[in-house]
Amino acid sequence: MVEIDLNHIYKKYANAEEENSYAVSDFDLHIKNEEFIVFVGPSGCGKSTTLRMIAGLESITEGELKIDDELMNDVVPKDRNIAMVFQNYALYPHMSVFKNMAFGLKLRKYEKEDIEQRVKYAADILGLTEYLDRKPAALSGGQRQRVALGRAIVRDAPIFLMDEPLSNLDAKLRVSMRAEIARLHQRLHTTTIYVTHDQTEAMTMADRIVVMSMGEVQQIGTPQEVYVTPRNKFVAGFIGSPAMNFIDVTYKDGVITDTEGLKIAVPEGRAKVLEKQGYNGKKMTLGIRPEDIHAEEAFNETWPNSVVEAEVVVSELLGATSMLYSRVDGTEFVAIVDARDYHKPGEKVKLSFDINKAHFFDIETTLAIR
Amino acid sequence: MVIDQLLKMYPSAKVVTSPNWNDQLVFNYHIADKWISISKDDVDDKQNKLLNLISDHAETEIINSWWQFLNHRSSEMPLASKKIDKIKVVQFHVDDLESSEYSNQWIRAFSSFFERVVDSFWVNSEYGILILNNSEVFMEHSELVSTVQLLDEDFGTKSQVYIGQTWPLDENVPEIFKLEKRIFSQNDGDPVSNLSTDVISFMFNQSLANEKLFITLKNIITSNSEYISMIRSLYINQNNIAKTSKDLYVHRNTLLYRIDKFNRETGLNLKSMDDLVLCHLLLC
Repeated sequence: MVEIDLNHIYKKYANAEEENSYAVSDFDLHIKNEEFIVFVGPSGCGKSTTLRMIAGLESITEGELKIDDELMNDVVPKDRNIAMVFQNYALYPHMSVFKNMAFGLKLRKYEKEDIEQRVKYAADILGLTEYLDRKPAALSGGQRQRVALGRAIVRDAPIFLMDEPLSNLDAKLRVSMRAEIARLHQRLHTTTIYVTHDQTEAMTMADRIVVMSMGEVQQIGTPQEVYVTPRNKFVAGFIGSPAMNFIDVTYKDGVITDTEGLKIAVPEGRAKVLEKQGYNGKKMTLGIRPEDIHAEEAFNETWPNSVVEAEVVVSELLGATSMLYSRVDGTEFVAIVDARDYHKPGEKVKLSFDINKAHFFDIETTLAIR
Repeated sequence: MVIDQLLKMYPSAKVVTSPNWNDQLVFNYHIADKWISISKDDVDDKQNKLLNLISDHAETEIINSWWQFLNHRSSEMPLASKKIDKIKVVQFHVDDLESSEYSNQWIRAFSSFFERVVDSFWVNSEYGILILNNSEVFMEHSELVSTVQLLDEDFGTKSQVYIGQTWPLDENVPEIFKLEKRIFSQNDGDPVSNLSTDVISFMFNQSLANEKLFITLKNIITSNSEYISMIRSLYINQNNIAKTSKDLYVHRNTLLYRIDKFNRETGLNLKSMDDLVLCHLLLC
């Protein structure tokens, strides 16, 4: 049973230029036992710095880090009982896979039998049993990454920290390792914090996602929550692939328009909310995911006031679906439609915006209007 | 408290952030979490022994022939150098190593990542050297970082490594090493550094950083934290707008708008490599 509390954590580097320039600001999170948490955000957002503070590799400027209610701020890394897996996985070149996995335990003076048992268990879980006598040079990239995971597993630590562990693998291997790490988590029941800049990894692996930008937490929630109800424009744009379309519009009496000629009706329920929040006659940002823009005739007939006539600029046939990079006068957006609705560049297509699933953001604060 | 008393007893003593091991005229002691340098003229043998007893990082007299040569303490080249044309000196600083037993294992483990290791030794309990023979094929920076991470994880240490350049082995090496040592001593925490990563900030900090002109300019360009990340990212991406906007997770047009805004506010055009390098230097 391991729970982690990050209470209003701040990180400021000694050489920070400004007085209030923090690499991480007011990071506040309670991580439950056996939870799989993913920190996600663009490079430089503070996610790895936060992970390194938990590991003890970076000092905490302000705030408290507690593991099972015990204050950890000044506890040295090796006494935190945390196993880490890094993006770059070095292995001792002259040691076999077995010795690479055993080395850390040997230094910690574990009994020989215990070491053997742990290494064999980890090798079994990771499918490395037949490679135990091989040197790292004789392994593939995926196998080496598994050994790096094995080095963490043998520690039998209740907390796993993973810092972009799949970034150096090719796309195909990344997908299979992603599933492997998820399976590993289910089997080992460790409390895991996983850092990535890849929102697909975050969405597929996490129990909860922490979306970060510029050193600040933007939203904490389940993958479903951050996808369906993003707190602000940043989260809405970062989570989801391809990214959400954003169009600056003005709302007036049930209709949104933009300066480029776009005009779409807003369903009554959504219109009521906008008016109640005082946005009638005001500017805002419309956010709509590519999959919420439809080309099916049935949809167009049901929602005639949401239909726009667009020109396809670029189109990509992806098999089951097509991506239509389209524009209405000067407004550009991308739609994911059924492959049957594929259109060539230059063709006209009727597309309807599913405003019931759309998002509205305040122009100034970028917060979602709800 | 102890430090204050020592400063009273040895008026020539100085509290320093890191000891200058090159200075032959002083002894260095690590007492109460501080380094104190005392002139050798003021300390007799007995006092030195006593001070070493209360110091938790006493400097040991390194008799390693490479160390002697590198520090001008011996004009003779080490015997092992006879078949060597070029050398590379790798310096390392390791915090939190528990005991000398681990020191030996650490240096063995670290050495195993390099080919043609001529010699490896500790200078004191935290600082050591690897001498490599003409290493033509060398690890990439990211591989070196992961190597240091691996060692730190296994040994529970915090390590920093400086990879020296490859130099012809001649009488110029000690002078070159002296500067490499100074550059390494100013590393601000990167696990792996080298001449390329550190020399610009080193030179700038040595000569210009404290000039009023640069201080004022730095204050102007750091007035907005968005500018700091923009300059750093543009520099890393060699002024490539597409890569930088991807890195910063902003639209290309947003980045171009910010560059223009920065230009209006500071008169510096980040699209010009000269201006970008100047801004990067100010952030070093």
